[in-house]
Amino acid sequence: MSMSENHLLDSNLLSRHLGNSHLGESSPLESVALSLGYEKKNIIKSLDLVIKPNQITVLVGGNGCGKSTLLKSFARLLKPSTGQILLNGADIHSLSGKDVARKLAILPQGPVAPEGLTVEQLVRQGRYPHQNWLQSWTEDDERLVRKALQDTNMTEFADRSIDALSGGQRQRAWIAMALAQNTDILLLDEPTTYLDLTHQIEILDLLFELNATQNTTILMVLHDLNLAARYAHNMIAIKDGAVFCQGAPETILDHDMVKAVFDMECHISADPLFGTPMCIPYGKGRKVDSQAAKHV
Amino acid sequence: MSKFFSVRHRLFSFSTPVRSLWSMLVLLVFFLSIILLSLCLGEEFIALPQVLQVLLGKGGQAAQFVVETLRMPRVLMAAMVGAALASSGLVLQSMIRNPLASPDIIGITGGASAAAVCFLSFFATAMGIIWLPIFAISGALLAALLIYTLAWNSGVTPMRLVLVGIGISSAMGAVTTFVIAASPLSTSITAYIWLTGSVYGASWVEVKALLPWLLISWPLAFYLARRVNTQELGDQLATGLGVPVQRLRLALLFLSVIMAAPAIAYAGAVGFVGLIAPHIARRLVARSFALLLPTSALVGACLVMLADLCGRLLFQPLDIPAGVFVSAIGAPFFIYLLYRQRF
Repeated sequence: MSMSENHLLDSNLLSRHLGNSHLGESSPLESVALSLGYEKKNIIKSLDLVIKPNQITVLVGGNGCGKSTLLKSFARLLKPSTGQILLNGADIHSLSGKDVARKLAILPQGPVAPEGLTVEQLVRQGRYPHQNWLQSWTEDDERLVRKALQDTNMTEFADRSIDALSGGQRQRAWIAMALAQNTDILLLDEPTTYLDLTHQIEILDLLFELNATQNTTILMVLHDLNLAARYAHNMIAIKDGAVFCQGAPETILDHDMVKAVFDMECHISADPLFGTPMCIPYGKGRKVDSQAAKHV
Repeated sequence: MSKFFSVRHRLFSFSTPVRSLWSMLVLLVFFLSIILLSLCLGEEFIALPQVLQVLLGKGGQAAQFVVETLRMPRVLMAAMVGAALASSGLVLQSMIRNPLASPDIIGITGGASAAAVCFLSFFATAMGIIWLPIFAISGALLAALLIYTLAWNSGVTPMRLVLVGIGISSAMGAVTTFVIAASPLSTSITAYIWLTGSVYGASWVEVKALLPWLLISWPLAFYLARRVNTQELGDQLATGLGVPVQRLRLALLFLSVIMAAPAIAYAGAVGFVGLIAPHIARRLVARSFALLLPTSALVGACLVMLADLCGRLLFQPLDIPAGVFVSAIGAPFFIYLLYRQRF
């Protein structure tokens, strides 16, 4: 609880402190006075944000609040208008593309594979930043591609064409590609969009496992608040291009936060299985006699 | 997992699907057979053993003249033109991530044609025909530059590039038609035949002039191969994997021009190869640029060689431009491939 302060200063101090510890865990990714925008419109203004190492951090917020834009800038896909993104302390735009890609992988929203590409061919592409044109297929490459396929349970689909897969399998194939990149940091933009509930859980379980077993720092955008609360160690709520609050979901996700960030009335209760906060929105809908509901 | 052929050495390593290698081998045999067939057939039939003897430096003098001076350069020219246009089409389709791109659709051929027709009408008599390739290549480069500049909007997106390209292509078409219409009849006929595309009367001089362009552009394309594969996953993923997408796109546009333009300059605006050969190649080998490049090139070479063979043989003594038959052979075969794929 005490680690989940909303104050930036504290988390900054915390990461500096950790940086001196034997684990050597300074913040792998942070933004300093970051401003972002398309054309002339500024979407993010002077943002300082520190992503905690070896944790799952989830960005939440309403449509158009700037969370995807922020994620893209963390992955070097967008150049800041002012300010910096620091990757392990170095300005991300001062590093070469391949350098960044060896430390950080990004899975954008709704990627599309070329027609006829097989899963294995796709996953092999994840090795690109580790190769050069003479050494285009080392044993490491082979091993990590196999491991990525295994970790995502995609080995049996290795020869299938991506277009022939179901939505959930397809997303797993893309994640396998990102895993083959073998980075310490993984960024994902709405990895569960367009998936049914079963596959949403499957993907999030996979990422949770990945974080638990390999200490991968994960930063992702999720739309589903309840799933975000369940899987995130750290939640960052974005509103109008600024951080509204951040911390462990159980400390920040409450009625007032949802009201402010999503402009929605809701009731928060504890998830009966996980104990994490669960947001039940108000609104219209059928009402059922609670007596009758008991029998369900 | 499918079988991959992997090579690992201290200095180099690569890995490629085994099935694709077999397809390429079969295609290579087919390619060599067409070359031999083209050397045998013609107004005067020369039997295969004699052709082989000529190739070894023996054989009669008459046969040697027909094979080495008349047929060989023409066959090689057809092969190189087909290969170059096919490679250019593949590069464009990969860059634009759209299977409908080719040098003739996005205006590269159009630029070369407009420049060539202008040259034939206004400068040819004064300067001499040897300047035609220079004009055609400059025209193609200029068109590509124009397309890129007009499509620029803090970076170039593939869709903008192709749409601007189509616009430039029709504008260039208008210039070409206008110049042909305004020229005297004799010039118009020369221009028209050039536009159809032909390797008629190709000599060793032209073969030697075209070859260096390919020796530059192909290694460059192979060098970029892995980047091209990555780029096909989309701009964001490619950037995420460390590929400088905008620089790569400019390089690929330039590459497609230096592949297509010289071929067009020496053989005229042979259409359709650039569009269709990469498609046929994709049905034959795995989707990897380094495999698709030689495969498309071989398919393109076979197509133009077969087209030229038909042009030479079917309507003797008339010599019909190869460009006519490229579509006549390519289109049904392509439709057959698509049709077969439905089952």
